[in-house]
Amino acid sequence: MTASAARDPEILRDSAEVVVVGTGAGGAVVAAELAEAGLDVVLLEEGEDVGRRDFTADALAQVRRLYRQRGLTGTIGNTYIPIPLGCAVGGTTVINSGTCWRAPQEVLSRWEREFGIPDLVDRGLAVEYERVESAIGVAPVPESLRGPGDERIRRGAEALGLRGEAIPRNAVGCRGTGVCIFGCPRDAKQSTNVSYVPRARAAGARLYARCRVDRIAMDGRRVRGVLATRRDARGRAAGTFEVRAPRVVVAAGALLTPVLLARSGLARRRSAVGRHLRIHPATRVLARFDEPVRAWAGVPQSYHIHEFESEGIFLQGMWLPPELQAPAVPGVGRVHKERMAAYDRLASFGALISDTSSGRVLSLGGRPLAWYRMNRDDARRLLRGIAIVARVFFAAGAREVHPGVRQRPVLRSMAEAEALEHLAVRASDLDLMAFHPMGTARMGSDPARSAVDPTGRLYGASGVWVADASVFPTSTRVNPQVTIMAMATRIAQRLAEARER
Amino acid sequence: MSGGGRRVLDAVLETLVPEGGAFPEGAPTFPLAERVEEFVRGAGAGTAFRLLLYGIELYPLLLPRLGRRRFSRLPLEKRERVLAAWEASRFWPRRQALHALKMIVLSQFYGQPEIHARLGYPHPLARVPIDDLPAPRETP
Repeated sequence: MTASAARDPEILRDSAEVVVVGTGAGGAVVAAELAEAGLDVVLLEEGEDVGRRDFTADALAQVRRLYRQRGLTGTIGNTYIPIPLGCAVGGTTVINSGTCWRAPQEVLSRWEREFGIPDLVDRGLAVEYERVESAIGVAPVPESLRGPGDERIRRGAEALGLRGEAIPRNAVGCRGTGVCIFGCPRDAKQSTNVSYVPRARAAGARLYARCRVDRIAMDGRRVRGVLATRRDARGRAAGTFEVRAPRVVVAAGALLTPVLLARSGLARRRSAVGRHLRIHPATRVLARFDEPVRAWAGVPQSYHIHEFESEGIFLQGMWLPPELQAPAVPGVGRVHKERMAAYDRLASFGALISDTSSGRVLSLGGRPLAWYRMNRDDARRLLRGIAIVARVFFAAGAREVHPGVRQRPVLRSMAEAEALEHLAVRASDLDLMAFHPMGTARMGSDPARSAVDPTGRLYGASGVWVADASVFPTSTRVNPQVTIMAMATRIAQRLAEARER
Repeated sequence: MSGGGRRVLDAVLETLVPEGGAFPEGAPTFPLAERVEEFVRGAGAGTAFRLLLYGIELYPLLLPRLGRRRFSRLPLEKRERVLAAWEASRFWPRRQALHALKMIVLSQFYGQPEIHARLGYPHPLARVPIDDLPAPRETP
């Protein structure tokens, strides 16, 4: 049972050696590692404690239940970019596609060289990666579970001589229900709500769901614990909750962690807290075939084309049910209905880039306001990714492609797909979304350039650690889930060592 | 939502998903307005949504070729032209506003089980029934 403060009004206070804020890829791993090392841990989560019985595969109900702001979280700047984030025990791991790639060696090497984070390359972080991958069962998607849309892409890529392969995922015993982003109803996907959180609890950690941490309480520069607002099942405030602890680990994600630090008076003037926001701008390309594709069968993100990774362009499977696919289909009224009537003949595939743009997370009335200006170079690279996917779809026999580009909402031939790449576009010309916010409390050995030291400890405060994607000094280039978990593993070990000294 | 706001919302919904055409159902077939209102309220976007509706309602007043009439008083064909122009607009806030509107409205419409059936989309748990599967792995 979750220790639900809202259901049990007499529980107003708790104390622990460590309080962890957030139960996603960072917080759950820290909590499990520390609890198993014998520390007394309290784990706080703003969202609900959910499980497979709650995962009905009904997209809208799950968006309402599992997504922060019902999926409308995003950045503003030179365009609006939605960034879906999870808000439940398990955080965004509950609603991601389960893709698990290690950060490339050149990224880790740069973190070592430019940011003074030791022991990352070669065997460095590999030890933690192996520990995480073994815990969550990472393996490539078997061919038998590949989605029919991704199979079309594989054939098209092969026809064009492009290299691709199955995506490694953390789905043990997956049967291709195809609803990874609405919570896995089989518990096959090893999101932290079924992997690390139960481990933490089995080792004695106490989980409090529906507790939104308002601020970290300090006595001067030394941490005293956290103050949270308890919520009832309808999301209404149901009182306050105080956890006293000499150590606080913040793992609320790169959009919320800097705001919590700012609310707590821990974002020093000109500090790196809230700055250097990096995301993976992305889009989906839709294609209509003459024959039924029934792209909903199988794993939606099962295959990727890796030919263009050196350019920072990543092409990955992406499929959504009608209610979430419909907005990306061009047209309004009867034209749009005609296109949606061919839903069983549609396929879609994602294009994602490792950005060179940068943004900032501000605290507006205690809530995050993410400001991000996507530069022209990133827009051009994403357009190149879109054009490549369009070419692959035509090579696979598509009749029509919807690239999500204002100037060319519909492509009808390979020649049009080839010409697309040469369009002059701005970010606002593209139907964007983004994933994987990171970098807003970056790690480094120089306190003037970084928010946390190489062990994850916040500069300028005693007893505060950060352990989520906020600590990444640059973009991981690839989906960051296992890198967050590997770094969180290391941060937990350093914290446990510091406690022993 | 007030009577005026509701009239605009109904006009927008009908324009985005009219009845007839490729399949008979449209926005008026379902109590879509209530669902849309509940969704935006829950997302904390009620004020922004109302402002967007009023922007759409008043926008045609600037266009002589539409007879300087409010959006909700235009015939369906002209309303479709207005929203199609928003979707193709070079002014990105207008285009994004239309995109957000499509996201909110179409997600509610295409989330109906009747529409899933119409599109031939089987419920995922009907396609791969969970009861037929072996018990999930225990926590590692």
